[in-house]
Amino acid sequence: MVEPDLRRVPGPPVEAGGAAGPGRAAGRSGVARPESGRAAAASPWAAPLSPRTETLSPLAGPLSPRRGGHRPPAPFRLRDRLVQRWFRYATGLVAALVVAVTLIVAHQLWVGSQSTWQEWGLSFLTRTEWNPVRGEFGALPFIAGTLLTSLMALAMAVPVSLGIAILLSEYAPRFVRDPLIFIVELLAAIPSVVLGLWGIFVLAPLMQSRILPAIAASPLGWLPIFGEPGPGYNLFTASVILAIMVLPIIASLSREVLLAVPLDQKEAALALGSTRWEAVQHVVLAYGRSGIFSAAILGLARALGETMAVTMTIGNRVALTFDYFEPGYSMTAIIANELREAATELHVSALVAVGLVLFCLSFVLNAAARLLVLRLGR
Amino acid sequence: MSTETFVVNPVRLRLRMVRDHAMVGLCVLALAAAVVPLVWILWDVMAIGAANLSWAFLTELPGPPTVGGGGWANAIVGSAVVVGMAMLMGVPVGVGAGIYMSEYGDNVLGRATRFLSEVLAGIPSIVAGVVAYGLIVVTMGRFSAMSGAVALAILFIPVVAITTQEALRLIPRDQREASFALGMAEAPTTLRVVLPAAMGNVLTGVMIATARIAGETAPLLFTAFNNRFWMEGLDQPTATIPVNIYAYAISPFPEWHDQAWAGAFVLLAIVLVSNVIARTLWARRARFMRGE
Amino acid sequence: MAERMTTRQLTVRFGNAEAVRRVDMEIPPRSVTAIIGPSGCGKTTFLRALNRMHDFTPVARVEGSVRLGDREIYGNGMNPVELRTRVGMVFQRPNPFPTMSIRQNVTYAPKRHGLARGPELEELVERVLRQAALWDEVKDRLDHSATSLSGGQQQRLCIARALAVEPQVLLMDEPASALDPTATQKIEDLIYDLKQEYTIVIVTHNMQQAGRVSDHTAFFYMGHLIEYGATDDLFTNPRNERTEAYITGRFG
Repeated sequence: MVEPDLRRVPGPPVEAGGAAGPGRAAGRSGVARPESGRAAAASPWAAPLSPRTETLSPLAGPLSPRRGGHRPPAPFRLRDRLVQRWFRYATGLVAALVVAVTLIVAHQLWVGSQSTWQEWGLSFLTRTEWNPVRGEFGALPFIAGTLLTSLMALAMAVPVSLGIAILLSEYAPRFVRDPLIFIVELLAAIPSVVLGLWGIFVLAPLMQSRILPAIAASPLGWLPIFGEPGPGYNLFTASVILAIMVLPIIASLSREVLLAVPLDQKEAALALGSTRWEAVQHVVLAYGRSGIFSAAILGLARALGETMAVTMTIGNRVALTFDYFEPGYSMTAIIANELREAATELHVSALVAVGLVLFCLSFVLNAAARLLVLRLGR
Repeated sequence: MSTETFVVNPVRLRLRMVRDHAMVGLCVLALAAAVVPLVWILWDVMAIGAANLSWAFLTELPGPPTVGGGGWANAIVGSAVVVGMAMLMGVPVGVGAGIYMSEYGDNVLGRATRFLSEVLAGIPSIVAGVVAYGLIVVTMGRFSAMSGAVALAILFIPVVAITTQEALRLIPRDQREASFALGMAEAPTTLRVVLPAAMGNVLTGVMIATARIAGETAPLLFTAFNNRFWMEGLDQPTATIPVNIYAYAISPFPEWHDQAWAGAFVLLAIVLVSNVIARTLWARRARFMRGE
Repeated sequence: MAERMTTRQLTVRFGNAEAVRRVDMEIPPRSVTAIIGPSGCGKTTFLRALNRMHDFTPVARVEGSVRLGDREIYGNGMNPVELRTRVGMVFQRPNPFPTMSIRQNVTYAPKRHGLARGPELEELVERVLRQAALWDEVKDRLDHSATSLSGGQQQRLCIARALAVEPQVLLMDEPASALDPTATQKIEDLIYDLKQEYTIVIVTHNMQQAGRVSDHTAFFYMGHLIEYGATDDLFTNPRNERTEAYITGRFG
């Protein structure tokens, strides 16, 4: 039998009013979602290896308030009340700091790129010339290079990721599943610069000697996006490296989506005499459609912002090209290569402007992915 | 009774079963497509990196480019300093913001923090570098370890904030209520009941975020920059392992390429080992809480 | 169409736990057999063993024999996919496919099995929806989402969906437990109509329901089949004291 400390007997709600009015107090009591509890009980192998903050849960909002429900006792002693107020204010201040940092980031990108916007306005995005010596700057070659490589990476990574996600969520028995999840997450933990190093010394030479000629000779070679095979540093090599990088992200997000498909949906399909694959294709994938789409969008956002591996393999040539076998440039690569040495104010601002475009793109894609999932969760 | 009414066309059924198995085969191929590059990359880094790794690499300053030799001691120290400073700034802010979002976050500030930390977590890493460059490098007029740490902290904070929030949310409501029922107030409940219970997951989040920024290169290129000698102060440029890997890899000197592989070996070892430590921590905590 | 199902020494284990223990049972065609018993007595586990739904639970082990007519369903000659077209199933909670329309829910399985196409398929949709007593309510909105229906309508759609592959046996796992009394009434009427053509096995923990709809009743307790007989006999004159205790409401 535990004797309650009488000095801390819960006071009436008014007593709590010092730091928090009754309205605010209602939101304090924490509610853990039952689904979250399941994650806690999962095998240690399933712990994420990579710093993945993307989550597809539409419930990632605040702890749901229970109005008129439970409320913590108001501290009676002055010292406790001060501690409580101090603690809430301190964490609130820190949270406000996070808000401030984000706003500073956006503000800094906006202010730092002013000269460029004043000089060219939005036509900066469609201009193709980039010449620091003459002071001519246009972002189109970089935007095109980024989009081309990212989309090609997505085209390669999405089917593969989906296959892995299906295998891990529907077919693999537990004893192989957990190690496989670990391996896929391991891929996400490899630093970009290490992949870039491998790209320079292993993948690019191989591309030049074997892979590009093989593709050109195959039926794929007839596609207008593939020209004459040339050096190993080109849009295609960068796309392959990017695909390797975004694959684990899309795979693990899709796996979560597939795991969230209710069991009774699968069972309904199976009980009607579907094969397992038919149940996956017509019911599980159909049910998880928008979640998988969100996963692909988040993968795209990641690919757009990837710097080192792309910079080291894309070829770094300022040219508007739609031939994947030619060297190109990406938005991240131009910043990585030139910001260090940019001499004129206009040059710096043009690079910051490219950074702002990157920021906006990734913001829009992240928001779109989240909205899609919210629509699904409705 | 008879079973002559064959509802199912046997040929069609056979085809469907073949397709069923074929698709599983395709899924296995997809898995192979992910595992092959992983093993390949790890193997190359291990083999080439280990072959070029030496005691001198870990303890000496770089030698002149054409002569070769020397080591990356300054870059190893530089990385430790830059990442350490980023953590010093980032851990209190990230964990504090995570606590606020989880425990008190049902208000405008909580919602704004949640939304904006997700925005911040989604920005390309190089953008954080651009911001630190504009804020600090341009203002101070030189590259510095400090500006690199700020860039990394911008990437570190939202990840820690989000993982802390999620870790605290995993603690069931009844544990908070049990504490309230004992007459504990809110702040002690958070600090003595909720946070200790979630500590394993919070630390895992911190370590994983640390591993991530330890491998970041892009934001350091034009903030911490590089330095062939020991760092002379936080307001001076410094070498770091990832930037060195990049700089050495694109150099024209074969000796430097070998050193880049050795550096990649060291970096990968650090990143993977801290991930494994984080995982072990998490697993031990989970076992403890299950009562084993 | 309808077939007899026979189990011999049927045992289902989950790991070390035996959920169903050596059950011998003969389920006659063209009748309704109810399975009753307290929660956790193995009645749903038994039901799911009849169309091999335990295949998807890695820890589940099924031993003994289950025959559909004279074919062993756990034997080598039986493809589980084929089996499930002969032994249909309706679940506890209505689970229509939310991504498909009402029509697509019904045509999904026949299309997979190549049973019908074109106008035949349209006839099939109308026929099974009529069988499920749903046609008049949905005939004007066949292309609406299945989730636009009420819970009771959804459950009848699930029955129609199961009937569309022309099964020989229909397994129902507490099909009315998630529904209100009016919808329950409709499902019970439907079960009564369907037994003219199908072998129906229904799990329920509502004894009144078992009494109303079934011809035979089996009482399960702790995985054992305690008593099995004509419904009227079992309810008025139980031979086993545990059966009596259960149906008189003294436990469970």
